[in-house]
Amino acid sequence: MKLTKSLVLTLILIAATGCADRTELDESSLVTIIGMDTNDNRELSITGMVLDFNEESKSQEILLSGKVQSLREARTVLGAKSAGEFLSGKLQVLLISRSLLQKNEMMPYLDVVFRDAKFSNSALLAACDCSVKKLMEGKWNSQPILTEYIRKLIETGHRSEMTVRTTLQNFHYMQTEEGVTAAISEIKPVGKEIAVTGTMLLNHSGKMALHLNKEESALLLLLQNEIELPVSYTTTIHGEEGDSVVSFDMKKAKAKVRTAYSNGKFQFHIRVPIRAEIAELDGPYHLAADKKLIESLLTDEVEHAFKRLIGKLQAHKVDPVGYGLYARAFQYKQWKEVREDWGAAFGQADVDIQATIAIDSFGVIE
Amino acid sequence: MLDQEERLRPGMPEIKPVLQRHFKEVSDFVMKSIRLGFNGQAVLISYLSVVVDEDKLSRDIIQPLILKAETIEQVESILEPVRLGSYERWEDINKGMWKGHVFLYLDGEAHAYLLNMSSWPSAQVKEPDNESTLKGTRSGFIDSNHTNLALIRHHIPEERLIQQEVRTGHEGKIHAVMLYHPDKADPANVTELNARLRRIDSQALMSMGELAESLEDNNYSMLPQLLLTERPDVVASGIMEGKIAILMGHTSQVMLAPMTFLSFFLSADDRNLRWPVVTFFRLLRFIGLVIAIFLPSFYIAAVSYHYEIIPIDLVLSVGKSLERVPVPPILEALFMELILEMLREASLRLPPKVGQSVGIVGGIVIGQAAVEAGLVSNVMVIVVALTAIASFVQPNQDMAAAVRLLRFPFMIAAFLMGLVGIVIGIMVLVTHIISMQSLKAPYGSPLFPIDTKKWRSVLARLPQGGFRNRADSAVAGNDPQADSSSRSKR
Repeated sequence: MKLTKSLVLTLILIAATGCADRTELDESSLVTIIGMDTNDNRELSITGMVLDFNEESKSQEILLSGKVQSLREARTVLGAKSAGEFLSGKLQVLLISRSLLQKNEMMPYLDVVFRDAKFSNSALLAACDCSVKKLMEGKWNSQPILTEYIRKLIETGHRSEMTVRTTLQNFHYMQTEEGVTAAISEIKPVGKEIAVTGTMLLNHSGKMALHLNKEESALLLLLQNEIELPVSYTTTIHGEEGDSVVSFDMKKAKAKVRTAYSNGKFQFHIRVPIRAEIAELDGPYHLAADKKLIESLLTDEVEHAFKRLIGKLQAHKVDPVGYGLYARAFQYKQWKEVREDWGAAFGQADVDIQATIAIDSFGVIE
Repeated sequence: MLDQEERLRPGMPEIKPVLQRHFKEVSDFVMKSIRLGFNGQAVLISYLSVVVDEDKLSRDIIQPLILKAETIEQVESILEPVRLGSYERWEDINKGMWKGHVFLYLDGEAHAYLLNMSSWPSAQVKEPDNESTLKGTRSGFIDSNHTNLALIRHHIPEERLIQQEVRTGHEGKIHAVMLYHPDKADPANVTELNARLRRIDSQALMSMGELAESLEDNNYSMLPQLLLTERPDVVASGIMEGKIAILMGHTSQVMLAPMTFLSFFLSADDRNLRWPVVTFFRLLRFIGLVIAIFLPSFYIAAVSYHYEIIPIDLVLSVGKSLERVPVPPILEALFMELILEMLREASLRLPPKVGQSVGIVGGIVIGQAAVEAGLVSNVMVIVVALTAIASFVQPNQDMAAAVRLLRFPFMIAAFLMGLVGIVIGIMVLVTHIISMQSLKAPYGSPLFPIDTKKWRSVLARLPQGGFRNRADSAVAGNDPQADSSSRSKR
């Protein structure tokens, strides 16, 4: 009888509380891409891609756009144009145009994304080096559904070390964490395709600071220890008998950081030991005999590339790798004084980077 | 009409009319008078012919009495093997004759005899149809206690088995036999079951299911709490695990008690197959259990509330297939589940030749046409089909039926509150399972009360140890197989 009572009670509770926020899947408009762009006024121009469940319609997605002042307002404006209830729980990609990133800080715009629990925080954040509307309206060659296309583009781009993969959740962390600055992927229409162009680095306030190309992005990922081995890398070595192109697979690579503080500056000693397997080499080298030579030439090249990257980061006062986290962990006293603007302090820091390449093999042919 | 205290009055002329009066309206009533060969003493033999083995009666009793007997002692020795006793009260005599005993009166004596010559029609021992196994025994119980007891004893070479007869019901008309192993069965359970059996107060029990209902702890529960089986190997292994078997002469089912929730997911085949296979099958059954109860409700919750949990690749196709359906998912699901249950019930009752057409109607008309017509969505058909298959995986039909029934409340809960509703449902269900008892044993054991040592023998089946282990343990005097499976005594 106890069971009967509790069952009845439960049923009453369920009946009394439920029902309110049920939305059937086919009666909702699931937005999968939100694109944000500026226009000349202080308004945002918003483009939304909504899944189309109608079986008769040819396309699988519907493009909605409007001008708003905030992202939350977009829900009303775009919602008014869509047949079902406008829901953002299945958001896959949040696109932000480069011009908007150059002009304004991002966090105030994205406030609703983090405040509203129903917003999907696993959506990927990407910058777009063109008008967002143009990108979303376009008919691209390899496009089954644009959402899928862009998402897979970024994910495979990340897997082949061409760009970072930043979800809204990651972005929130990188923006609120003092010891690191944000990095997001960047895409761009190229002819009839969309292509990953590299990584967009933002400063502490969330404005665009620097663009990294694909090669630099790979090095950045290496420094972040965010790579999926093996990483393939191509460079040119400058030997005595002229330049030759070398491609190699990094079989093992890990950045190790030591920190110190002296002369009023943070010191970072970064070691990147890399074990490589040569995949392609078009120079006049005797592979086995010249192993040491090739290793040292490669080391020079890679180290130089790292140094260039670090120099760029320091010049633009951004720290996407998160050296600030090391500084806080090991030099807390000094860190406390600069925590308000770590980027600037990192710009001042002495960064010493050493890469060492050890060649494991030259492939299956001699 | 029958006087309770009416007693037999000696003398042939007294007895004949009484018998004729008592069995006036019974068509198979037979009364024969013979005379003993050596002294001509009159003998009255009377019985109900459909329940008596007449050949045997004639061969073992009538012919020897007439032809062979030469002294009164020889008469005694002819009657002795089948004689049940001497009776004077007509009430006892009538009862005995209804049970198939033969009434025999030697003229001049003060009492009559009842001879056990009963022969009830019974089925042949054959493999039970609805509990078939791959490698289990090929014999199943029939509607006779003698055969059933013999089948069980055949499986247990154990002289200490206790066979306790219990007469119960209104005027003690129901006759049950409790069978258990004195060292393994919990005495508390034996006492409890005995007491419950004696409390039964019905005129007649038609089937084991009825008996089970009057013995169960919780009549309101959807879950079966006692195992009804037709397989002697299941009963035998149950007895060796400390369970108590109850036999009732006129049904082919034997009941096992106490049961736990998890023991309904074991099959007789589990002991015959190799352990990795069995472990995999058990896993399959538990996965089947989860699918059978939760899949429709999970689907309803997903498309009504939590579309976030559907992968993006799937959300478009699910959405497109739902778009055409005019009704909310709950109605769609209820519709399909009810149709499925009807199909199942129909194919159960129909003769096999007609049964095939049910499959065609169900498969083609419901499955395909309903989707084409836009009455149900494709995904729902898949969900319902999966659910059906998952519930057919269960080895015990009672539990499978309970599982099928359980998904309806879960579907409604999912419709009202989404996953929260399902979680509430799970909480109620789990609370219910672990709070129940079967006799004096916890129903949720060994999950609750927690007994991690027994988990591996219930959830999986591990190797029992090869011949090497067994040889060692035989010297030490204990059998690892019996130990791992026997219930610990409390």
